Amino acid sequence: MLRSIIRKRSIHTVPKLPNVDVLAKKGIPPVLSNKGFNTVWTEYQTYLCDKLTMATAGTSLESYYPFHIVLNTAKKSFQSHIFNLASATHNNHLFIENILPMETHTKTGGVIENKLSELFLDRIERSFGKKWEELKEDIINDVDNKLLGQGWFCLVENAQKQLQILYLQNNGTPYYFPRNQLFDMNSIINIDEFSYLKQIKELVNNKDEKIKDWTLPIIMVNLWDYAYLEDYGVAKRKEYMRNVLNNLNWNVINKRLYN
Amino acid sequence: MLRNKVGLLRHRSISIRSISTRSLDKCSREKPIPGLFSVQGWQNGCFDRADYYSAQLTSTIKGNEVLQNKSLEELIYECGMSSSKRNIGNYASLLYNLDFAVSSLKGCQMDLPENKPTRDVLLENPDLSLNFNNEPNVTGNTQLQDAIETSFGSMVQFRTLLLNSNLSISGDGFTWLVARIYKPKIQSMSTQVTGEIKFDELFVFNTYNAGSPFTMNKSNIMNNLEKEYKRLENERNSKEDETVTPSKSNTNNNNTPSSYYNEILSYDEVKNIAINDTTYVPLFAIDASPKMWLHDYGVFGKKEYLNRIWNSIDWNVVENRLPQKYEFKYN
Amino acid sequence: MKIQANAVNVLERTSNYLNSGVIKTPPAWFNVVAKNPPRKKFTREPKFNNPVTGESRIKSLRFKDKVNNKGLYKTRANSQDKVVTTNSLYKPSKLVYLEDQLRQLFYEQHPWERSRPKILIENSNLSGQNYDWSKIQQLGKQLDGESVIQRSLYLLQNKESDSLMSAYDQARFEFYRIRMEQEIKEQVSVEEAEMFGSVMGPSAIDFGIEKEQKVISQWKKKVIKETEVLSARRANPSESWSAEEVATKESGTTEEGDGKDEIEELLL
Repeated sequence: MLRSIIRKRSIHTVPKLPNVDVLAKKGIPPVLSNKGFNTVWTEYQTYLCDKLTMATAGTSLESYYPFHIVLNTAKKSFQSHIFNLASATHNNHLFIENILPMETHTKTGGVIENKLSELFLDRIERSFGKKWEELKEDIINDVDNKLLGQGWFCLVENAQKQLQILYLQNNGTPYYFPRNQLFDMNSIINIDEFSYLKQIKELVNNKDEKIKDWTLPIIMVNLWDYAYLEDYGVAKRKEYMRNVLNNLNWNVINKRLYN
Repeated sequence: MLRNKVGLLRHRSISIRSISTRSLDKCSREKPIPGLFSVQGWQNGCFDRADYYSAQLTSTIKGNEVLQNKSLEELIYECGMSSSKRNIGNYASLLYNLDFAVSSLKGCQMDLPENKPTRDVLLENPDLSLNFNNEPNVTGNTQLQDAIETSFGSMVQFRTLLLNSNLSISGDGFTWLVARIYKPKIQSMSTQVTGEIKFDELFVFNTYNAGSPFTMNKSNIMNNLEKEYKRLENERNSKEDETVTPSKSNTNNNNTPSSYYNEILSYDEVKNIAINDTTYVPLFAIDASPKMWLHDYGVFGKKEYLNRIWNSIDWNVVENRLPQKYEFKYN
Repeated sequence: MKIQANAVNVLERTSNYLNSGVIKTPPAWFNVVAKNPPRKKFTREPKFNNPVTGESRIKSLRFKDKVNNKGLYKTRANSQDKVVTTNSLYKPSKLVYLEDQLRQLFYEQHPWERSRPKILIENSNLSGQNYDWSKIQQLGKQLDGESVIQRSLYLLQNKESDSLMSAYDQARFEFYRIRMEQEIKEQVSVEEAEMFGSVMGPSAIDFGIEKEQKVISQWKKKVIKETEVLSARRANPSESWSAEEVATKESGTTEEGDGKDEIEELLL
């Protein structure tokens, strides 16, 4: 699903998107203008790939895909800087994939509708007890409170096939819960968050049991400044979020869901 | 309380309509800091953010008369330490930090970059110069220059540490230059005047998101959380197993320090001296948020932004904030 | 002895076999060997000049114009002088590279640079010909001692520095600045991750201590045992030889506690 094409050993390059020329000219209407697209994908992804290449070149990590680098470095505090880059590279690719304009025509001439699958709607209702439209409103209203700084919005499916919402701070990853980065300890955390962290700590320090996390991301939204500042300005992240959630590429997302 | 003694942080009351910020009020939206921001970048990086933060702050303290009459600093102190009011503390802190970071910038002689930096800058050779145009010495701030050189070794070392610390922040955050202040009671027997604020060394550190240099010391809060967590755990355990007698582990070992002059201090006492009795006076701050530099410098431009920030620092303002130096006296 | 040249004629032989139809298909190595045929000249030729320095290897006899210790002038070669030694003419010359000297200097000055992990699998770009050393950092190559060396050679060749040492210094200082940046980046990233609620495994130091502790505790067991044997010997040297086996077994049960305490005291 996610590939950074490796031409030579040890070089991460920006994955080629379908119709990238059109995207560069028109952006992804109505979510991103061409300038916004250029910032969040062409430039930012190049930045991440180059930095990742520089950070891993000549080491055993150099021929891994970003996804594998994320899993490999997640437990090692001294490789946090590599983890950050790999995680951002991977997340940003997930993000751009699920907002790409959908190809509405099949090769044989048929028409595909950009529609949520019944399965998805059903899962949403079972997991949240709400309709997707209601949930969407909640998310849009929540986003400013849940994420003060940079980060990612992520709808994930856990091992029990339930959907969950995660707000990953900075470059957290959805794949490994001790590195989700769900809390902002720069301000004050409350007792629930503290207990949660404490329990994770115990799990991580327990050597007998290996942590298994089978969570997979379904929807990923980039909430970094690179994604919305150009087109929406500082105060309108909410509007950006609404636009993204209303213009998702369901073709991609339906496939990510377990069935 | 630090702010009263230092006298740097004047009180400002917050009206419901707009929250006033010292230095941003003086700035004009049409006149960005020269050599640092374009009009649009200035608007993005400062005013839009300040407006947004104060709007958020105003809405969070709406209807609370007591809080509305407090200054930003007071809000940070009071709300930044309680998890239920953390929204207020966060926005107050963000607003304060932003205002503080802008307050010590005077601009520089350079022209704004015509083209935004490209990916080539990632491989660029580092600048090896040992002297810089904008140093405290040049503007006559020798006291500050001395303080920096004794604390960091040299101006180059200081600059490298400062700019690299900021460059390394991947998300939002601020890099601070601070002066450390010990409370006089542990300075030495010979310092008689207890009300004096004197610093012994300068430090550089980072805060992330809405972190504030005033609420750095969270050890008490963490201890309380730890206690609360243990209590809850005990409750849970006792529910599961009624026969277990209620735990007596709540006798905390957080003894109050008996005297600072004991021969051997316990770990907690040392921690107290090192953390609880030390405060930091911020001298200046650099904003790392992409909101500041993304518009004018582009994705690859953070380094260029930081170079210009260095050239734009108004050392006069910074030196004015510097407390007196504490002189160690050896008998 | 006749020079054994059978092996090097393998190409001709195989070619003949192919022509005559003894074998039908050429072996896999055939084309490769045909392109790089083995050397057939086995005579060693003297090299009168050192290929590296260009100096002549032939030393002509020159008598000094001075009186020797007997008070005489030397005018004729003696028997020793007449012995012809040709060893030096056939010696392969020693290859000397400037890079090697720089490498040695660099790693002598920065021994810990050797401790950085490095992958040794060959890359198609191993020779680094595609790198542009007008910059010290390369995409796809980690920053290490080699970067410093290549960069200083570049500076020297392009006359950006006037001497080798100043070129080396400039490259070295660039290297330091980047290392500083990397180091702070690593520290800040850890701090930042922890401030956002990351929980990571043991730190590099904890990990190291744990590994070390395993070895130390094994070592301790061994040493306690050895010390016991040693002290037993000292106490009664003549008997201990015969009763060694017994002593060690006994100490395992009875004296263990005492021995341990003693060792612990020593260790403290």
